[in-house]
Amino acid sequence: MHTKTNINKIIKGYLIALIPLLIYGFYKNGFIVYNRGLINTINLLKILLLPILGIVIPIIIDYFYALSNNIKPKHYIKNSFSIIYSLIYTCILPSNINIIAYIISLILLIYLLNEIPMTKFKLNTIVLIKLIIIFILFLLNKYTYLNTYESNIDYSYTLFNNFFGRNIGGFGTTNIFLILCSYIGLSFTESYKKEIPLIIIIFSIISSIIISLIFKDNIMSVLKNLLISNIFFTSIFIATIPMFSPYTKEGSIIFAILTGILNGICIKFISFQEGAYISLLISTSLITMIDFIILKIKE
Amino acid sequence: MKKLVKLDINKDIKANVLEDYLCTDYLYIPVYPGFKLKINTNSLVLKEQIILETDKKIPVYSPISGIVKGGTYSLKYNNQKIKTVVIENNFKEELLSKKASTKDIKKITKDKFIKTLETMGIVDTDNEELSLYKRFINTDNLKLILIKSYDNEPYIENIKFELQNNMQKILETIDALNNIFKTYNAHLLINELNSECITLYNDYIGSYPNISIKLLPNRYPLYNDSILKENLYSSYNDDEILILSIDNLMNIYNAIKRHRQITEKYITISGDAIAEQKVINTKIGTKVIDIINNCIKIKYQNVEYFVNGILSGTKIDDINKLIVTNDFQGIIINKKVDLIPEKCINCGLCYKVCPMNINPKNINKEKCIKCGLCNYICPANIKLLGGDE
Repeated sequence: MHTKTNINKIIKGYLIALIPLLIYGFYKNGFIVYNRGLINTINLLKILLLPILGIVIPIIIDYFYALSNNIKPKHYIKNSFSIIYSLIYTCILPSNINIIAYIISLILLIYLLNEIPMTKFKLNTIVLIKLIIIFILFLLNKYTYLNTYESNIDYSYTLFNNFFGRNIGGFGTTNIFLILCSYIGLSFTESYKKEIPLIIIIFSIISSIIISLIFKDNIMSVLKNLLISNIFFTSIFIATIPMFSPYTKEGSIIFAILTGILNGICIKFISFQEGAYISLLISTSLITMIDFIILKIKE
Repeated sequence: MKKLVKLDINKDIKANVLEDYLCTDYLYIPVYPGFKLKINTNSLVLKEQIILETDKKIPVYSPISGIVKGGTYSLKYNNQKIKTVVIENNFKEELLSKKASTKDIKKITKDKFIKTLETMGIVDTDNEELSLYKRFINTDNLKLILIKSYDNEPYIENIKFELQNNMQKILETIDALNNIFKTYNAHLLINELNSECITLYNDYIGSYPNISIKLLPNRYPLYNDSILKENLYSSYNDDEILILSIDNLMNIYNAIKRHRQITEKYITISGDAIAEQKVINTKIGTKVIDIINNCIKIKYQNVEYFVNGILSGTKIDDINKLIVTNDFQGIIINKKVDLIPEKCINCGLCYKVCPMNINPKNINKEKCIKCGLCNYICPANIKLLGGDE
């Protein structure tokens, strides 16, 4: 006798939640820009290629991984989170990322995630690879989240723009409205750790307000910028990945509070766009310890 | 408050039929440590004759009349191998002696009640190796008696038929316990989905002002006494509350009213691999395979057998040696499904659902109540409980 929830259903839930973001990402970074005549068909297809590769590459890697480990490939692919990790990774990258760099980093990501040691040490591999790519782009002076249209205009986004995705960010991380709709949908699944995003966002707001009070910044503009600082996508999709979040409920709460506080600090002092990822990288590395302490106390 | 779970149950698997299977050729009576045989092989034994006894004169009575054929090894519900005495049924049901029933069991004193259970060797149906009388020893502060009138697991449906067929006996016994232990307050806990029994008892409960029906939510694992107490009766101390199952209640009735041990019991045969789910009234000591062969049609070749439930029960290795004991509730026969366990995805559902708040990935065997919820909920099909066995 078994509950109806299984890994395949969990994966399908995440997929359904990610698809609108990917569609919007293609619409914003490809379709709109193409309509304005700023890119040709080939460049439009390049934008479309990102999510397609995000699906195809993990399937191919999983297939060969299963064969090399004498596992039935169809069964392994059906129950592998690789596609989800890969699509999340696609969402958080800039849309103008070099395709070769994208493919290489994606292969490295899926390979590392299939190897147990990386996940045992609870290093958020998705965020780590992303930050490495961003660092390389930064060194090569190619670090920008602006698509072709955004790099040709002077922009000033209203709150409405920020909420509905007309702002600067990763391929699929800009539309807060769609992200929140995905959160509501995911909250109905049994395995989704819904308390984590809620607490992260609340504590991000609190820590940002406190920091802005200390540094006498305009609170309203800080909060407005918080909308486009990736905290929604990271907290709803990345912080809740079962493998990179605490096992215990109490641990999840502590992890979320810590991430929220670090968000405020990292966004202010390190990087506006990457702060949320850095804070997640730090807090994920502590989840094994957090769970260990909680379980010891409960004993 | 302990966590409770509403289980996803297959509503097509429902036992609506009660049948008798009392004509078994052989009975297998367990010989527990400390018990010695009181009769010789090939001798005639009568129904309710003592066949086993301890040094302290705790007896085990024969459920049938017949010839003692010797001994063999059989399996209990928990895969435990036990020595059994084999009696060949002569189908005559010859009684050793007729005993007069006690007219008014309410008038029995507490000491006589406990002594009767002890001397008659009445066992606890939750664990046949324990004596039932021990539950009543430290009852000076007793305020409330709870009768668990619901089955421990889904797909086990004995209680419904027990409640319907033995209503007067059940109410009379509860009333007697109220008087004997001076509690004057008993709750008959019935599953909220058991509407037939609720309606039936509501019509008669008025005659027993000290007994009230309480509807129990259809949640698992409320069968566990400590979880039941903590969730629904937390205002009572442990020594103020006595929890009994219906099976134990019927044992008490037979012992103090009719001066007999129970020789028959209801067992459920259920599962998705059989054509019709049934509750069978059978003799204690019957081989389960005989019941299956005579009463049930199995639809598939490759099946699995789970005794006493599919969550907290045991998967049986050898169905041919399994016998019905006092603590046997039923057998679930399911089509064999090869669930391939995946890698743990760290979702934390097993920890979330554990009513004892222990880490199912590293089970504390002292605290674990073996409810099986960790196995039930795991999306990766990992066998957390029983995985290291």
